[in-house]
Amino acid sequence: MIELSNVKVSVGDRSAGAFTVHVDKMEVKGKAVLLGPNGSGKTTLLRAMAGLIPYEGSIRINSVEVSEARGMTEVSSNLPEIYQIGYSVSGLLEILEDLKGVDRDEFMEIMRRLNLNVKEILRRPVFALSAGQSALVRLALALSSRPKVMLIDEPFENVDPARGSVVISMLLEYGEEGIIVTHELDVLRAFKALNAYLMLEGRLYGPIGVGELLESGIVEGEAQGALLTVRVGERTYSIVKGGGVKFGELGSLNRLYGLLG
Amino acid sequence: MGFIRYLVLRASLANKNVWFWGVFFSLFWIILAAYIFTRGGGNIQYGVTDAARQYMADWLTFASVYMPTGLMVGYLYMLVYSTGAIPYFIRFGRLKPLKYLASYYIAMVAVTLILAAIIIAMAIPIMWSGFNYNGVHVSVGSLLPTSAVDALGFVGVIALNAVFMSALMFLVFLLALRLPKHITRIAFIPMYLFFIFYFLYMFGSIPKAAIPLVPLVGLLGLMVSTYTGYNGVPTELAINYNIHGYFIAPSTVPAWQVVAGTLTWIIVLTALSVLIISNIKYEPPESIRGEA
Repeated sequence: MIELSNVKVSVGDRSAGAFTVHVDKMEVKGKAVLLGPNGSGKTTLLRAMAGLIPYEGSIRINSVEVSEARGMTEVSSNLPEIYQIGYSVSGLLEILEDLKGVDRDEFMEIMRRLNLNVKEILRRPVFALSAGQSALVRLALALSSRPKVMLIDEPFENVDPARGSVVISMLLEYGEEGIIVTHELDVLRAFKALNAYLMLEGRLYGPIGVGELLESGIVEGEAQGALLTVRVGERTYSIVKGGGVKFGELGSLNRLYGLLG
Repeated sequence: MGFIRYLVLRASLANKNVWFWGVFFSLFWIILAAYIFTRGGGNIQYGVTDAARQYMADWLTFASVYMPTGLMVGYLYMLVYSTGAIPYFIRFGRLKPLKYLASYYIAMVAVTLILAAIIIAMAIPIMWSGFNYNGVHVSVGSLLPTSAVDALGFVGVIALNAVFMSALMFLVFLLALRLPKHITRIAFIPMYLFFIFYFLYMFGSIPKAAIPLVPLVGLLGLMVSTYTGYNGVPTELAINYNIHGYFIAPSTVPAWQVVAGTLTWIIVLTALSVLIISNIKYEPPESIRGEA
């Protein structure tokens, strides 16, 4: 189980205006989706959950505080910052076999499922991969240690629809628990059975069923019987069944601020 | 082993900068030492074999100590790109701060010994040819260590020096991560220190008490003493001879003091690095660019 309580994560210089993510409470049993527009703080929260940056409050994975965790190889993430440790993809694989327990055969199998040219990609420097290849290689590396808990950041970004469906099936197949961060609403239908959390301007809202969210809309003000009430800027919005701007029709959450503004 | 193999093979031996700055740059200096700096060496009338061996030892020491400083600068740029990976693999992988450091130390020793072997194999004929070209007639044998035990000792000191330089530079670089805009300048500080101490030692005399306390000096001397078979670490590297042409051997400090001093430094530097690595947090590599 992933549990967060009273979490505060600050990034950036105070002089340049630090950005802070607040989470009062979050409990994820099984898998959940973390949604939000770009720049809302999803990845910052995931970095804190992956132990990359300090946080205040408590983030516990399987009852272990992340800041004190040691050797929990059952947790895996695809955050790009982790995969800068090697120069070429083959070098990275070699390092991860040692430091993360990545299974080379599993990696090759995932790459084959993603219809990627392994031989060619292994030779390439990590920075020379296209954005889509980079996302897929990182996902393959994250999954090939057969994790129980996954912290997956934007797995669909720059990925073509055909490979996107393979990614969906792998995200459902691998791991028992985890968080999948995305701003793509189009792929959400595949995760209807999961819970979703919404991150807006550094604040976390939820949970709400993905299926329920797709059938809901967003309206200004505090509506009665709202599934969730959120704040954007100085305004309050409600997520309600029927009516308003439908989530299912937004395509990407990046359009949300534009529509609300 | 995978990480060590990566550091040795991919990050070092497959890196052309390592060959250029590690091997070719060292050989360039050895060629200068052999053909240019030996001019006037013919004035030594007695003890020429000892003088030649010490001269050879001085320059091999230069190459063997200088090389890890250059190598480590390359490794340390990996560190800049690993500030996300380190905390992640400590928490959710098999990485331990000491294992991480030890991997660098072991890789550094392995690569240094490989490159040093190549340099030594090439330096011996170059130096022999340079001496004879300038009228100092010595045999190849007089340029080699006095015994197999001394040769082994020399290899051991090269390894010890590689570990010390790794420990020193790693800590300097970990501290530099807190001043990302100055990393490039800070990365070269140990190399500058090496040059300062080397030339101080070469052209001056170091106080006896400082030799065991300052490994940058002590290790240089220890290398020379193991190579030449001196019973102790010399207080100066310069080749001195009196007006009658006799080579004057320098005064010495016991070798165990230098080894003990160096090991103490390695333990202290490693402990500090382990502390910092345990608490490292992600720092975007772009932050080293800074602004004017």
